[in-house]
Amino acid sequence: MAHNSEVKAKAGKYLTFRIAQEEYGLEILKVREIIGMMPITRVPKTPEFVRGVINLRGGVIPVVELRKKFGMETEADTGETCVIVVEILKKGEPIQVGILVDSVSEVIDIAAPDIESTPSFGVELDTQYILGMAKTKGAVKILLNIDRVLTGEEIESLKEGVK
Amino acid sequence: MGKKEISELIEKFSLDFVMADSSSPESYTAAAEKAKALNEIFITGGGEAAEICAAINGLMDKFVRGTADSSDSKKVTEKISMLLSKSDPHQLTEKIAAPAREEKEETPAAGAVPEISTDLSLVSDFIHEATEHLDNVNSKLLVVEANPGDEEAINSLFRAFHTIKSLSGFLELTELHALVKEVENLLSGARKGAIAINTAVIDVLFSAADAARKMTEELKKNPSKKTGLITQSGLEAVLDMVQSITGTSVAAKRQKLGEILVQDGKAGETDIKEALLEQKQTHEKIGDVLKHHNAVSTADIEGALAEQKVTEETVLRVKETVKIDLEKLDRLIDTIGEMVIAESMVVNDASMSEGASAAFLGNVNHLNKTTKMLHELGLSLRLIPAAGMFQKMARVARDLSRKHNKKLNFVYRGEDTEIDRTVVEKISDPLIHMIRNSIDHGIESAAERKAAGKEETALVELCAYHKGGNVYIELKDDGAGLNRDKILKRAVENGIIPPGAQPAEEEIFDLIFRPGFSTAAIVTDTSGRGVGMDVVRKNVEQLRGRIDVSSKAGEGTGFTVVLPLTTAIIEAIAVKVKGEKYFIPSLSIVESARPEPSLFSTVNNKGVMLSFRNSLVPIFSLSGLFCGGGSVEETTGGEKIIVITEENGRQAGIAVDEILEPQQIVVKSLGKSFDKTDGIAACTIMSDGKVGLILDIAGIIKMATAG
Repeated sequence: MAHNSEVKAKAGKYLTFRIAQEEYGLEILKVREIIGMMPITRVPKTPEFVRGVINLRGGVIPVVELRKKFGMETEADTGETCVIVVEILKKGEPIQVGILVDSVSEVIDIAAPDIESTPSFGVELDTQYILGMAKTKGAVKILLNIDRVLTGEEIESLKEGVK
Repeated sequence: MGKKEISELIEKFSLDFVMADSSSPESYTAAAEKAKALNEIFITGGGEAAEICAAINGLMDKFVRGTADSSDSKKVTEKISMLLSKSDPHQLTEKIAAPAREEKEETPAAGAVPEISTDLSLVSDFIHEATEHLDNVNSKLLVVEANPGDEEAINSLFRAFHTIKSLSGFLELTELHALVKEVENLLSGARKGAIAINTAVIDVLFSAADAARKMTEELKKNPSKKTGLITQSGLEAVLDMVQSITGTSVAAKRQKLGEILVQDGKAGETDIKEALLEQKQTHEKIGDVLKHHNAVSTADIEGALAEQKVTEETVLRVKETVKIDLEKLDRLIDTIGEMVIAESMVVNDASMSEGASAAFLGNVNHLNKTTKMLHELGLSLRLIPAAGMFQKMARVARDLSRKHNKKLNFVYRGEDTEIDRTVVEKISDPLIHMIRNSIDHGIESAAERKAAGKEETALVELCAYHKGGNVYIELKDDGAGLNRDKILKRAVENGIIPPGAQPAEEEIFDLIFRPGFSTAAIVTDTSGRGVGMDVVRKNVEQLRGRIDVSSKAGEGTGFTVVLPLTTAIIEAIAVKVKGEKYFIPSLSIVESARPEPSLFSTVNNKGVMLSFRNSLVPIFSLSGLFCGGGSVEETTGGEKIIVITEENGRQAGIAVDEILEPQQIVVKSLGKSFDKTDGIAACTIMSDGKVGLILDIAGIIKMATAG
């Protein structure tokens, strides 16, 4: 696959979380903090997957709803719904973005042999957001390339969408 | 002697050394004494520091004897920074390590020098200091120009250049060093009276200071660059200018009285020559001789004498300040803002009202008061006096008046008025444009003024003051005033007003803020490259301020800029649309109303207009723009409230569901992840901790009219 040479999941610590019964992993170095649900202000004229903005100790950061981003059905927030604040690079500048997930699971160590490159699903599924798949404790976890998820066309559409 | 005293002594020494006049050996005595004292302290400890001190002491002897040259001066500066660079001089005495031997005086350590000179923090300190000195030079030059005899100001100029010279030499910025060295020579001559300060000298000094500033700015962009900060030809040009004065210093005393009289046509050349011959015998003053001969009237002599002194009199004051990292300051202010919100969340908590003890409530009250005080203090930290900006304007005015050969008295008042630093940064350019317009086009030539029975010297006044929570900046000139008829003619030509219309005076003057209305084309016939006043208004409105103009034909023009005290806090009115709260800046609001349904009229059943005070105002629905929909029904139906707003001189109504009380809100950026959000200017944190959005009225109108 073309992406293999480009992006490769590295062994290390990952924060795992759930969206719609699926386990995902996020490089722990990208994670700034995890916060419980708080009131989110919707910003008009932004793409649908942008739930809005929150006040994080005085800083205003956007919150992206991963369910909508991944084209899944949305469900009402539960007590476990939370926001993972990640730091990504946008045009070389670090920015903070919150991602809305169903629940946060744990931080796990993933060894290199446990990581497999993304299987090809054909054209139906866009796999460029995925670093790789990890098999741990008998379950498969999808390791996300969060920069890809939130930047590139994503942030572009954050800009474009507000037109 | 404690560590603190030692470092103080080192600092005092370096200060004395830098302040000493390189041309007089006696001035080094104070520094030499301190060097001796330092040497005595360190000699017992031995090691690196003792060596450095011994070297300094030796060098200082040379200075006092007057045998030192410029390389010695450099050596001393190096040694001082070696001493200073160690936070604790005592460490030096304890380190008797072998590598320290490299730093012996005779062989200025090959390794040590580049290390010091490439230290970026030193460069950054230098840039900071040099910029400050150059700012000071600018204001002091204006003082000297107004009063060439002001020795204190000349000394201060000398000190500024001297410090830059020492520092640039130390950092091996050879070009800058060469330039300021020449300037220092010039000023040294001026201090001794060998060079008379006249406008030509001031001009040269201004250009030299500008060149030095350019080099410093270049250095800021590229801190590791030592040379090439200026083009060779550029440097030579400035150096030539400076040297032309120092070279001809003896001949070019200040402009002679006789020359002024001849120049002004008050006396013939022959009269002056005769008078000069007589003066040689009588040793009278040339003016008196001329008077005896009845060649020139007393009034003319007095006039010429006054000219010799240079008219411009602007008293400048610079306030002492403490340097703080701007980033830290912004963070402090941000944190204070956070605390205010956190505090209000605590105070407004529901559990406060039920069963809290009186003592607790008292404590909360105390917290509330302290937080408020802290908040006010924090906001005031952002404020800086207008003086710096005004001095810049005085310089601009001076240069322009000389360029256009117009006699000008530029006066400013209220330089202590404190303004938000962001406002100062953003308002400077519009102000420069306005002053340029004033001098370029507003003020008539001396001959025209004379013909109109006015003083030949024009007056331009700039003043700032606080009024009702806003900052007012006024710019007035006593020029020709705006040409009402020309503006009107132009407006009719451009189709802005129908022919034959007779708008009120203010409305006509307001037209100059329209795009495409170059003031140059209106006020005078000269094809000006003057920036349109529309840009000025746009800038002012971006700061959530407004600008007004008043003018009287033949008497002058006045501009009043009203700005909020700080951009960090604005007054806004909260409105509700479909349950969401938005804020509209109060300055954009004309008024709000709940009009009768009959006052609405639809256009093609799509657009809605409201007849409001005899004019038709387009009405937009927020929910329509933001959430889609926005049918005519939605805009006008039900209990809609219309907020009439004005931006860029255009009115528009915004339909909202509910209107809440006005409040002061802290403006925050929406963050870097949203570069552009049409219709949303910024956001604020509301008292419940939630983010509230501030509407961008101009953007909304654009959105509505584009789509």
